[in-house]
Amino acid sequence: MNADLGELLREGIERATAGERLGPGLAGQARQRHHRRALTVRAAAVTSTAAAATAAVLAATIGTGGSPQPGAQTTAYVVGHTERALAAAERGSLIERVTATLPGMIARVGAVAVVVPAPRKVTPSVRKRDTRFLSSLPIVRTTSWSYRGQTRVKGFAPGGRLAIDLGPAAPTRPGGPRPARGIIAVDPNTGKWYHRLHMSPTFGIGRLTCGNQGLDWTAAGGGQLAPAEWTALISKALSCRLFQAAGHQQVGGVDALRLTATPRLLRELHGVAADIGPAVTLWVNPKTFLPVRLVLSPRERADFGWLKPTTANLATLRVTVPAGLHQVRLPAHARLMWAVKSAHSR
Amino acid sequence: MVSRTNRDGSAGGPDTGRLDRLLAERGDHLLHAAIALTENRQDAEDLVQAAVERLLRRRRRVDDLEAYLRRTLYNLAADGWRRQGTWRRRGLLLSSLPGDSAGADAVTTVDLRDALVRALRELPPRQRAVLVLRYWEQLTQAETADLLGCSEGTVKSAASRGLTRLRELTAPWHDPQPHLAQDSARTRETP
Repeated sequence: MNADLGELLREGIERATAGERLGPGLAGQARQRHHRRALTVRAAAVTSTAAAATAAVLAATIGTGGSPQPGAQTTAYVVGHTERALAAAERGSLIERVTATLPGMIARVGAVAVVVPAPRKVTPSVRKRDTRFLSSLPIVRTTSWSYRGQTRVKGFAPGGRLAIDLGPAAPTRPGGPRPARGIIAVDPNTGKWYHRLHMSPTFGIGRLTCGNQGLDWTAAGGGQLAPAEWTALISKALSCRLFQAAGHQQVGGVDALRLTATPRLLRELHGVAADIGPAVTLWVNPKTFLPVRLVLSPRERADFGWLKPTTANLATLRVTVPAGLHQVRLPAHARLMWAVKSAHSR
Repeated sequence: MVSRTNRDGSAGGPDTGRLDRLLAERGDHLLHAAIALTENRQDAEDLVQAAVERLLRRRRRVDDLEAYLRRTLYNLAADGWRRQGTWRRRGLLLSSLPGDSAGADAVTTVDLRDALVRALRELPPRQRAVLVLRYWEQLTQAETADLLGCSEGTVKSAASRGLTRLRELTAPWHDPQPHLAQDSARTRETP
């Protein structure tokens, strides 16, 4: 009996592994990791004896105003500065504006849906009959503004027509009473506006931790990456050292610093997000170290802008309902979701 | 003779070529073993890479690269190695298995094979390593014990316990009808 079971196990493993080939780059990756580890070990070994010398060199560098020359900036230098710049922006020093183009092959990417969960069900389901698209038009481009946990998103249909405008409601009159909490959505094409909405559980980028070999995604929840979460993912990937410096490049009139995703990050992104290309590149401003552009695939990219939190700029975070629109009140448990509908499924 | 330098900064010489040749010739087999020992291809590649890294650290003291690599791979797995930044993509491997269009008995057998591989991943790492060595690599108890650095008695008991557990985990495939009947009865009793 054991022999039979063992034979079946052998056949099962043969079937499960049939056709699997070892990638050609594995030895090279192992050598790189070995190299990095060797450097770390060597650095640790010399740290204690070289502390005085390091201090002297540092003092000399500061004294001469020395900083890494353009083109010679190391990954650690660029990544460290970018991390700090993003952290400062997140603390409220700047409003983040992201204009994202979405893959044209997918008809309803970014369409906003309300998902009504079954009673007592914690996790919203995405059953078709429970889903209502708030945007009557497909969305191919979004512009979002984020500041201190508040996000406004405008979705645009092909041709640039506004398809949906959602975010915190603006006061009914300037300086008027604070509107109710929650967010509203306006579809100018159907003449409807919806209130009030709550965000669905997000992917949980903030819960990710850096594992020894990349991001530990087991801590993340389910759900999809919302557009505003890409910045959080960039921050997390930077802190886990999953981007590497790759020189300079002109982007949007700026001689931006170029960072490329490591093979490990690429592999991990391919696991969570559809349509990620063979390379993921991030450009950061060499003066502010804030992201300028993120390219996820030949068809999907995000352009970043960073605005001072002036009164005028803060007003862009709020949605004003145009006069004459019909209000639709949604169930209290309605949740906002970024629904993805491929062209083939519609 | 031209002296080369590896990317790791050390003199390359024959080591680099030997390792590349070894991976070209035996890499697939090592990957297959790693897939059986881990949960998916991603983890399997990382396990192979971890073993290669160990080899790179000790390559000057290793004569038989393949034996060292194989021994390291299995021992890493048996010691509970797992990829730290792991993805959980359970079921991916099995869902991509080719279908079997043979008769009902053949389908049942295929299901049992698949279920066994799935159940293998539920076993403790050392039992899993022992079963893969004994039944997939078809090593003897003595060879398995030598490779894992333990006694034959340990191998024997691990294999026995592992198979018993596999049989428990795949019970529905061995005798599906009684379970189906029980499930139906339970369903009817539920108000």
